[in-house]
Amino acid sequence: MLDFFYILTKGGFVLWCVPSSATEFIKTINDAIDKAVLQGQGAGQKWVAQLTSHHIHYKLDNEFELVFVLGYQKTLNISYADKFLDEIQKRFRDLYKDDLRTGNFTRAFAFREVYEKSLKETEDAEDEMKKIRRLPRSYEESDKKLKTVKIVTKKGDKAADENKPKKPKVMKSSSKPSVVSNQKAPVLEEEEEEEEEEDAKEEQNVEDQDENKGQEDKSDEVVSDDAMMNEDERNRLPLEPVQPTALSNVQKLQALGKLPGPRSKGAAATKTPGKQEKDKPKGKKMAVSLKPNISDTNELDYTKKGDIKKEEPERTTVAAPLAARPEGGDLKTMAVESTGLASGLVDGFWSKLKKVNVFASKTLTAEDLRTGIETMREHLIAKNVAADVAEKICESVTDKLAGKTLGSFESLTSNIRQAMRETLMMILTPKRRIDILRDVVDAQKARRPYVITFCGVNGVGKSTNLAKVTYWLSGNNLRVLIAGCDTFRAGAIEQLLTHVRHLNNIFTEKNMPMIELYQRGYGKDAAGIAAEAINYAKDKKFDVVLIDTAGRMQNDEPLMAALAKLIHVNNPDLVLFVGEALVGNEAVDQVTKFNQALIDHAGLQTNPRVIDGIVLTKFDTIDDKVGAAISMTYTTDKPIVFVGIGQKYQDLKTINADVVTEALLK
Amino acid sequence: MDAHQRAKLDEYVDPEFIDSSAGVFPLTIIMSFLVVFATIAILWWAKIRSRASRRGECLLLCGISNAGKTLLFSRLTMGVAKRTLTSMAVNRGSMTLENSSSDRPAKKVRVIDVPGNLRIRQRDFNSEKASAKAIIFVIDSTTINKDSKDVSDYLYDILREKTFRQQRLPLLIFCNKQDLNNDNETTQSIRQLLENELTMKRKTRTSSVAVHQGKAESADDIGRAGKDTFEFSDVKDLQIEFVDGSSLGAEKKSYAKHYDDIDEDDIISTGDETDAESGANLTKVYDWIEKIWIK
Repeated sequence: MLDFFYILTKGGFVLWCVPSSATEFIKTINDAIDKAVLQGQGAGQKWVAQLTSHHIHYKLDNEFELVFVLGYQKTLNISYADKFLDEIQKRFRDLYKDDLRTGNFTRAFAFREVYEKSLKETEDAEDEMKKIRRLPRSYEESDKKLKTVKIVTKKGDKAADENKPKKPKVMKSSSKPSVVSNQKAPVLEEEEEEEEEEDAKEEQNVEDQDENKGQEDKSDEVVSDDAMMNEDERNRLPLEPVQPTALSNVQKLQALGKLPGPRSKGAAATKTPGKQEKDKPKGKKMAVSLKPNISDTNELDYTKKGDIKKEEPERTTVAAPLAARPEGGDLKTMAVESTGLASGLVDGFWSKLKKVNVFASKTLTAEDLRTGIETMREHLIAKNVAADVAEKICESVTDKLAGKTLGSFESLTSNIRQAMRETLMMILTPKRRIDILRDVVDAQKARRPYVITFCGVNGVGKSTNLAKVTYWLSGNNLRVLIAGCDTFRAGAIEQLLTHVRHLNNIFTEKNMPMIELYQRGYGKDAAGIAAEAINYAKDKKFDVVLIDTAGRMQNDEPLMAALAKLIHVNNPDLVLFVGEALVGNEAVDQVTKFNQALIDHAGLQTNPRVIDGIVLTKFDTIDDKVGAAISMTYTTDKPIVFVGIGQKYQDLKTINADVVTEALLK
Repeated sequence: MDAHQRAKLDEYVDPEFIDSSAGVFPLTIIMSFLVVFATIAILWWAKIRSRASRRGECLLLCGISNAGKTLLFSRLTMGVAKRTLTSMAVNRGSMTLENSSSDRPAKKVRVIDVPGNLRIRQRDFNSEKASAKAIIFVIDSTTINKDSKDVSDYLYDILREKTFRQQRLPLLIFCNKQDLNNDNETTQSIRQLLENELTMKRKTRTSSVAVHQGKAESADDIGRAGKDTFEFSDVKDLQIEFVDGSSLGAEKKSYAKHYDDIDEDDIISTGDETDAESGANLTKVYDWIEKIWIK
């Protein structure tokens, strides 16, 4: 059952809640709001709370600026949560529309009865559905039947083989009318529509004239050829004499005994339960008419030639450029705006006026937003944001804007851009600012060194950036010890030695050398060297210890286990993941796998350490394709602590969220 | 002679053909243009006026998350303490100040509550700071020891803000939630704690790594230049005051009742109910607000 249900305004006032007196969920909800709603990490308006193992579903009402949140234990499986949220949202809005509009929040909302009633209704509906679904599928409906049919009718056509299993999936996706989940580009959309229509057509054909397997064969051929989108071939197909060869193969196979004999199953692509009766007699008929009759050839002919012809004008060719597609919405506008900052000025006054929404206050629906969001998504991917992350960001922007009323003189694209800018800024802004110098002061008071670990995959710039951080810390009069825990790569220790010597030359004012390198050569255990280094630093009163580790691929199990051991044994104050800005979709994988490995190999720790911050290197090599920053921060929810913008000691900066956001939206 | 002339005139100018409006036709065009321009000018001027009047007239509530800003906002503007969660958006409202002297009518003060969440704080604070006439910085007295770093971070940003210093903005540091525990930090100890933190913050902020492509800001130092430790009394540009209190009162007990909504009346504080009755202690805050707005 639901643990809690809150209706609150975006400003934070709780309008109504159940249970009324409990305050124990406040922390969970606050956390959920922070991560899921603000950062947009809740995928599809769902969120799994880390600490208390609650599943949290939320729904934003952008018209009245409300949030509906519900939560239940993770162990339960409540499938009606989203529907229930929608239902409650509708009812609440209908009941209190006027109050919400005037902002009269001080009244008591007597909503409990309606809530209880809705809950009961939804639960009952859910039970009903479960009862229906509990009947196992009959053989007719199962996929196995599909496969058998396919094997029988194949004349070795592999392409159609692939198509058959694809078909049920295509069917399912086509039956979902939801626009938000349709994230495919318009090109793919066309293809899918193509296949859908073909499949629908084929279904019809199959149902009507499925006495002959050969005819099915042809339909498979048609489907497979359609996948290649060749109009001419398709036109030619119905006239090809496919049938005789098909039959002969089948007959041969049957004769060999490789096929089940009398095929009592009808040829069924996807049969709905209602059509089962139709199936059986047809199946029987099929078994009978194995031999080709002249009369059957007529039925082989695609009588729905009209359909074929009808399709052509409907679908625009794939080759048509995006801008030329006859779609309503602001696609052209987006194309113009994305080419430059000043393009808005280039547009004339009148064209701008045409675009803006002058008089009517329009409510935005998901359909309106679709094209604009699509273009935004592709734009982000072009800027090197990982594909998954771009999708999720677009989803959260759609959630933010759906149902919002456009004021006068506001255009759709400006709203989308504004929402996108806000989301990106929120992703890049850390939840908590990491102030290393301040924390070093704390560590000094506790008479222990402040330990920072650098980890990452091969070749991202760990040692170079470690040297830059050393330069910065030494410049602030802190004594730094570098621990050479890269015991694998040839020349790693020597590289660090060179850096130490160089930096000591720069900072020669003090009597004692500020920077030292603690190393024990190659081939030893990294975790042990780190532990010794920290003890040495404590004895000699060093302020900071920087641990350099070897680069390792994220899917290399033994190396990841070794890194986890190093981190959990030594418990550094800061674990920094070094990632390069050039990385694309790999970024998500790297960061996720590193985090996962640290958690998995935590041993007996109750609080496993994870990555605390990100160092983004080689930032000067990308012009404005700064998407890697977004991918990494989105995946880990940890801030970017440093940005490396070159290969000299001074080339260390912190990230500027405004500049990065502007570069992404340009 | 005159009649003759007149007749002649009449000959030339046949009254039928005098288009009486022809003479004034350009005049009407001019008149209509003037009217349109005047309307536009008046609207534009009114807009400028309203924007200008919004500037620097509002009371801003700032503080980190969970300090109690939204609750204070509801107390000030609506008189009740509503149950709150993390704010996601700015709350705007207004409160009426009752005047002790009856010659002037009750003054209306606009209150803006800026969410404390770090992610949206930057954006919201930056857009609202232009309209601030006074700021109440709310601190949770029970967790100040843990949160001192974040609190001082925020406070440092406020103290450094150039526009505030030019305005000589009044800043009230309100130590909230004094009713929760018994061993709370007193105003004095909180002040000391913040001063220490800000001392360190001055040093670390100036020596931290620069922002990539950041604007070259002049290093506005807070406090007295050259002096190592920071003290609030050094800050001359802003008028800082410390008070303590609590915004949550009797509502704490009645939260359950408030939301059990079987024929529940709207609980609206009429204003006659004094704070002492409800258990909230905001007298000092009210005094401070009055002092600033009714000068």
